[in-house]
Amino acid sequence: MKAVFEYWPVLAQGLWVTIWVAVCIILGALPGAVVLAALRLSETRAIRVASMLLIELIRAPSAVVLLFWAFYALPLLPGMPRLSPLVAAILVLTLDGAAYGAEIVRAGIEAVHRGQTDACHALGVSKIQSFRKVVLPQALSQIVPGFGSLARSMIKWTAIVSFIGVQDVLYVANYVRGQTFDTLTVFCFLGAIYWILTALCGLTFRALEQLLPLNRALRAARASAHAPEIEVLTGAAQ
Amino acid sequence: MLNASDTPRSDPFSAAAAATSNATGAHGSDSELQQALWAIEFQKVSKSFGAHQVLVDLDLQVRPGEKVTLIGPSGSGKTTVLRLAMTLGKPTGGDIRIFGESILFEATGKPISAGQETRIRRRCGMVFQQFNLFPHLTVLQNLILAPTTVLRQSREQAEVSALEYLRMVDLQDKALSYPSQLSGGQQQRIAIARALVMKPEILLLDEITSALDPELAGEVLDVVRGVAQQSNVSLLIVTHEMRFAREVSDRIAVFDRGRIIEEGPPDKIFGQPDSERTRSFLQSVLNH
Ligand SMILES: Nc1ncnc2c1ncn2[C@@H]1O[C@H](COP(=O)(O)OP(=O)(O)O)[C@@H](O)[C@H]1O
Ligand SMILES: [Mg+2]
Repeated sequence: MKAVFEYWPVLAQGLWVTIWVAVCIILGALPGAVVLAALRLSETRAIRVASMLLIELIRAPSAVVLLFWAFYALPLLPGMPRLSPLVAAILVLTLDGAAYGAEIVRAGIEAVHRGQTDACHALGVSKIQSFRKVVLPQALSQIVPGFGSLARSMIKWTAIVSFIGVQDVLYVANYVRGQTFDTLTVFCFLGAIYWILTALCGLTFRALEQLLPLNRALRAARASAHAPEIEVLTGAAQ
Repeated sequence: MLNASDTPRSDPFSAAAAATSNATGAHGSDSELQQALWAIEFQKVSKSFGAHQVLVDLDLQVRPGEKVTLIGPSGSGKTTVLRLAMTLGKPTGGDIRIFGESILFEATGKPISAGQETRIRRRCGMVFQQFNLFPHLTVLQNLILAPTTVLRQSREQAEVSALEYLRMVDLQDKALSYPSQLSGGQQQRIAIARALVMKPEILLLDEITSALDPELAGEVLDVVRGVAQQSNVSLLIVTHEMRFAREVSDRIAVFDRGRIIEEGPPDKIFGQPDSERTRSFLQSVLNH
């Protein structure tokens, strides 16, 4: 335990980097996923195919390989900048998250029943408005939980940034272990940290789900389905 | 037959020219003027899904204010007719006109622009077999979505008119409920109200009671009877409720395999149909 207390300032700094990277890549992946999904659902075949290839290209290699590529190989190409470790890490993980997220968004949108857009069309509602007001709000009830578990994974992905020297909590913990040789304590601490971070993330997304319009509607329906039972019970008691 | 569906582009051109000469009064007889003013007019419409030809050179007209019912075996193409009229699909051949305006081609014969199509489409409304209410919105929100986004009414204005229509379908007390809290019959009545708040001149009803238990179908049909009597909206109805069809329709068209095999006033179709196939279809439905 001494190791953790003694080195707390360093560990806290590493923890701060981990949180910061995680928040950046999760928030960055969200709009990226929406854009990629929109391209993926484009009415133009060429755009559909190109975006599908791009998504596969990003998802195919392990994230570490992609990270090494962006950090070590990219600057060797003519006209390409040398990225700082932090920027390279955030860039790669955001892209990776966007590629996985795109499939979640796409599946969520496609799961909305065709009859919904038919109804919008019959009411004269434009495609954009029907997406904004009818399709997306319903799709979110699928997308948000899916994105929640992706976000939890993305928190764990951040650990690979230490490979290119970003001083996240894993990097710092390894350093502390080297200094103190208190391997057990340090790694238990590390495990607890990731557990707390992913749990907090899960709770956040759970809370977010409660706010979605379709979930609210389902809650209302469940509540009213129970209401008659209560009436029957009180009726029987009288 | 094949030729007609192969050369759809040349048809509307001449049809448009004919309509213009009508309007200028070149041969301005009443019947010709009336023809340009059909509420719905299908001209030699064909529709295929892949190799499967669903509609074959279909001609069908509905006068303004007329109530026309399509009956016929399932799979004969009735839904396809309504969906094409609602621009929820494009025919493979022929032309469709709403109040004399093609929903497919400009007067020059070019495909119609999206803006034009939207403008003409707003004169039609449709109610679906599966209701298709928006489950994430309350009843009131379902009713004001289109008025506020399409007609740009203020929320207050849209709500006042929505409540009027809710009263009409006798569901004013459900304004704040969600669709999933309502019975199927109530949901379908809401769907009718949702279509009516847009004040369509044409209303397309596709088997609106087929998904309902028989005891709930009655309340939905009552609403449609009311609409048919109290407004001069043109109705194009697909239904298997023969008694209802007989009561509410000015004219019945019997469909079979993508063609109209017989049409006429309800008393004729139900009383002494010409076609043997009409007779056997009616028998199969009535014995059901
Ligand atoms: N989107 C579609 N794709 C392929 N086939 C279709 C589609 N819609 C309808 N059909 C086919 O067209 C035929 C007519 O369908 P429909 O118009 O729904 O008939 P009805 O409403 O008279 O029962 C059916 O054989 C059906 O399988
Ligand atoms: Mg049908």
